Amino acid sequence: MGVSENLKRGVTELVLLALLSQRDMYGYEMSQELRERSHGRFTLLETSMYPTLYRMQDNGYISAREELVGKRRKRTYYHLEPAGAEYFRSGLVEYLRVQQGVQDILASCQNEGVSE
Amino acid sequence: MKPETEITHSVALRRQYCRELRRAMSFAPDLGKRCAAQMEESLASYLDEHPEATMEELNRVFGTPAQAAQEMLGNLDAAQIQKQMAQYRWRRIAALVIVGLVLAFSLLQVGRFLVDRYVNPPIVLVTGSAVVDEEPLPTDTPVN
Repeated sequence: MGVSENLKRGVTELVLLALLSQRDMYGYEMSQELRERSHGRFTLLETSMYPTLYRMQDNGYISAREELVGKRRKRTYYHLEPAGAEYFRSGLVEYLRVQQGVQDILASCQNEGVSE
Repeated sequence: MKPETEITHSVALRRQYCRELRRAMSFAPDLGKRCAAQMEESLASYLDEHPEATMEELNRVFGTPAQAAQEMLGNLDAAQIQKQMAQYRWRRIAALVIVGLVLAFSLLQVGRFLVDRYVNPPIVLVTGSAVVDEEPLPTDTPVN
């Protein structure tokens, strides 16, 4: 698994919570939104979202409800719970802090490389 | 309203995809079943928008079922993996117990048959039987 895969795995939870903070969504809709909002730079195979969604559901961060679409099709909508909103806020702060740290490391290394 | 052939094509495609996905997720059957149910809805949504889509197109957009299963496995955390492993272990134990019980019952039946046949053969009592004589009783006096 490469660096980009590990990074993607780490932020999957965060981006899914960010989407659900906008409105309730279903799986296919979330994968489409991720593609559109990232301009195709952050794409997830839909199946890779489900373990994350189930885990957040087990932790009480999100809830799921089924809605009938047409005659027989059932669509599962996910909803952000207050505990999830709080978790998202703290996760976002943590992510931005780490991102800034990584940027600082990379920038300082680049500067040293240039000065040498 | 969509034509009948279009509906049949869509249903056949998504069923085939989900069947292959469940098969690829056989290491975690409960998770595979749950995921396949949601994927079926997503595939239906996609096929509503792209009625002419083929299996190759679905594999390109959603990944092949094998890729999808691999991605799912890669996103399980330690607790989820442990849960799946525990379920797998219990399933294996249950299967072994069932096989063991069937074998034990079969052996018991064979053993009983062999004992009955060679060690303690059943005792057959042959007894004389009465003969019913239906002729009329003699009426003349016997000669001394």
